[in-house]
Formats: sequence, C-alpha cells, structure tokens
Amino acid sequence: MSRTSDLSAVNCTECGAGLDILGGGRVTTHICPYCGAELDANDSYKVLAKFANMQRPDTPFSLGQRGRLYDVDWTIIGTIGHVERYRGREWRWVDHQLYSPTHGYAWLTYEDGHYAFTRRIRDGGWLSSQRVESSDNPPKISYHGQKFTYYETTNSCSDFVEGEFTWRPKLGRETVSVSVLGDDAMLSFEQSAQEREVYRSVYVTAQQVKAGFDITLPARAADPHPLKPVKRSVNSNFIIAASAISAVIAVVLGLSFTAGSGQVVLPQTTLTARDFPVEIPFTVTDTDRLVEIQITADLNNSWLWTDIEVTDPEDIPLFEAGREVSYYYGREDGESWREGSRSSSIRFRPTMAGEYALDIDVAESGRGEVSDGQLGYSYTRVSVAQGVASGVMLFVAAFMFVVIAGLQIGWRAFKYKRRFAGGDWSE
Amino acid sequence: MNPVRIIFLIFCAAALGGAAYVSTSGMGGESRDLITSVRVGSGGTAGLHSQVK
Repeated sequence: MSRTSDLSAVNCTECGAGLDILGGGRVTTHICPYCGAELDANDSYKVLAKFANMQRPDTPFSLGQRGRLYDVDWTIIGTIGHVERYRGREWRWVDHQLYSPTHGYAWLTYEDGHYAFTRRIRDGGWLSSQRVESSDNPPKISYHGQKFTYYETTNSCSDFVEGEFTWRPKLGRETVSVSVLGDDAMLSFEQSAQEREVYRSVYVTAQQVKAGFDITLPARAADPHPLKPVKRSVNSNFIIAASAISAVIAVVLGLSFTAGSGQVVLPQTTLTARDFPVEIPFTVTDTDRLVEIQITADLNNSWLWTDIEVTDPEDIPLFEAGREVSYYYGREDGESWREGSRSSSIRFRPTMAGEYALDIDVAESGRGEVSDGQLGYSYTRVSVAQGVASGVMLFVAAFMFVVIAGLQIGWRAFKYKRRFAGGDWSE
Repeated sequence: MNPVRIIFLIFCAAALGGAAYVSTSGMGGESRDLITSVRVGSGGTAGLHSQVK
C-alpha cells in the first residue's frame, strides 16, 4: 500500500510514537527516532527491522528543523551518523537529508564544526578506487569546466539512522568513497554493495547555516576543512600582472640604459706595444653621470694585463685599477667555443669638470694562458666617454617586482597545497 | 578600481621612475675594484709597475 500524499503524521507501528511525515513522495523508509524501528513507508509503515543501541551523534540539527540555503527552503527529514576507522584513528560526521517540495532532496553534512551542502549528480562520470590505486599521479577529472584532483579514499559505515529516507539505509554497511577536490567543490564517487552514486559538495559557512536555520552553532573546529575554498585576494591577479608588466618595463629600460655609450670625450686611440706606458688627457664636462674607459685589443687566444691610473684636473690621483683582457676560441668535439672578451672597461664618477689624465700601461701579455714573453696583441685601442648611465638599479627594481609576483604566486600555491594536506595521496 | 590597486600602481610607477632617475646618473654602475686610496708618490697595490695578473 502506498501512502497518500496528504499524510502528515503516523504512529510508529512498533512503539506507537507519533512521527511527522516530512519527506515527500520518494521516501521509502522511515526510521523511528524513539525506538529505532525501520518502517516501510510504502507498505503501511510495516516494521522491516529494528536498530537498537544507537547513540545519536553530536549535531546541532534535528528532525523537522526548517532552514533556507541557496534561496531554497529545506526541511531536515533524516539523519545518518558515519564513522571511518583507520589505524586506530576515528573520524565521524553526520549527514542530514534535506527535502524541498520544489527542489527535491539534498544533504547537509556536519563535521567538526564545518558544514557542507551536497546534491547527487548524474553526469559526473566515475572514478573507482582501483583506478586511484593504479595511477602514478593523483587522478584528475573535469566536471562542468572545473578541474578536480584526487583527494582521498574513505571506507566508512553508518552507525546511526533516524527519520525519512529515499532508500533503505543499513547500519554498518560499508561505503567506499573516492573524493576529488576542485577550487570550490568536491565530487564523491560512492560505492556500496548495493549501489553507486556521485555527489557534489560545496562548503557552507557557519554564517550561512546560522542565518538559514536560525540556530546557535557550536564552536567551529580550528582545523581547516579541505572543502573550504581558498580565499583568493581580489587584488592578487592584479598585483601579479602589474608586477610582471613593471618588471618587463624595468628590464627593457635597464637594457637600454646599459646599451647607451654616452658622449665620446676621447675617440678610439690606437696604441702599440712601443707606445706604453702612455699618458692620455681627456676632458670631462658632465660630472652628474659616469665616465667609462674602454680598452680593446686584437687578441687571438692571448691575453694582456693593463695598469690604469686616472688623475683628476688638480693632478691628484683619483684611482688605480688593473684590467685583464683575454680572448680564447677554438673547436672541440665538432663544436665551436669561445671564452673571454677582446674588450674591458672601467667606470668611475668624476669629481669635477676639467682635464683628466689617463696613465695606461700593458704590464704583461702572452699567448695561451701563460706569460711566455710573447706579445699577445699587435695593438690596443683606448676610448673614453662621459654621460654614461647604468641599468643596475632598474635591474634591481625588476628583481623586486619579480619577487612581489613570486610571493603572490607562492602564497597561492602554499594555500592550495595546504588544502590537500589532509588527503591520502602518497607518491 | 579599488584603493589597493591604485596604491600599488602608484608604487610601481614610483619604483620605476625612481630607478630610472638614479639609473641616468649611473648609480650602481661604478666599477667596484677601483683603488681610490691613492696618494702622490704611492705605487698602490696595482700600480703601473705591478706584476699582478
């Protein structure tokens, strides 16, 4: 005998307690919250079985409670307590079956102060625990354009049932659930001995539950819940993009500043070995920027070492420096190679405008890598330019922008990784 | 555009402008191995007749 649609209450056919009928036409089983009798809703509430010694799990919700979530009015019509035991540890959570006359059935899960809203889906494909076991990497699937990555496989059973259900729950029945996690949802592929279903769950904030069900909620657990979406700063992408663009601009400007050769104040002067040591005057008018001394030599697998001294317009030595210029090349194992450079430079900041003196000498030179008394060059060229800029600070700025963008990306990756920290995937 | 984005853009522009400004003066581009403690009559450690290679 099917029940009539206007039936609003019955008496338990086992203990006589009054039971409200809340769950709509697809309810098949009603479990008396008072005596644990399993009643057949489609056959005069005949007793099918009796669940004894059940301990009601800790949950802020109760049968018949009404609430509003996602702009839909729901009624809690059933409660199932689940437990998973693994290596001496125990995890518990409570599923509440929800019913809406207009939107059908759903689940509200309570676990350690966290809440999740779940609906069954029929287009989610299937991911078996066998496939997970045989995968080299965490399996990934796509659902409605969203990427999901394997999170965990659980083997749980129910240890408490009460209320109305659209199927026939059994205490102790094991269910294997493979879960995959997306940005803001989780898909669960659940298989028991009788059936397999796919569910999509989303995190429900305590504020949503409190506002929707008008109840006092227990304190939220400190542990994060994997289903809780990572809070992404609304400015994160903007900061990454702005930093990247600024870094590119800084590099381009830096390269252009570095490539700038300034204004020549001593044109290339060719010197042979007979000319050294030599003093060459040059006049500096721009004291705001750098002066660059460029030394070039026609080196072929040879080197030279120059001693340089610069004297300021008041004939006071400004600095001394040495420069090695070396250039080697060849072919080895069919590949050409080259090492060093035929030119070198010195950059300094002039202290005053006027005529400076450049004293330069080639102290040593040689072929190969030793000082063998042979001249490693036939001539050198010396030139001086003023008004030289430098791209160093722009490269520093570019590095800073890269660090800013990297910190944003790194923080995002850290939070993403932390969501999966509770998963059971191991390489 | 929210204030954080505006402030960050100002920061980027200031950093780029500041870096470009000091770059024109060559800041950071001086050779770091110049021996400046040179006195008249002193050969220094890498003077004209040094044999250092």
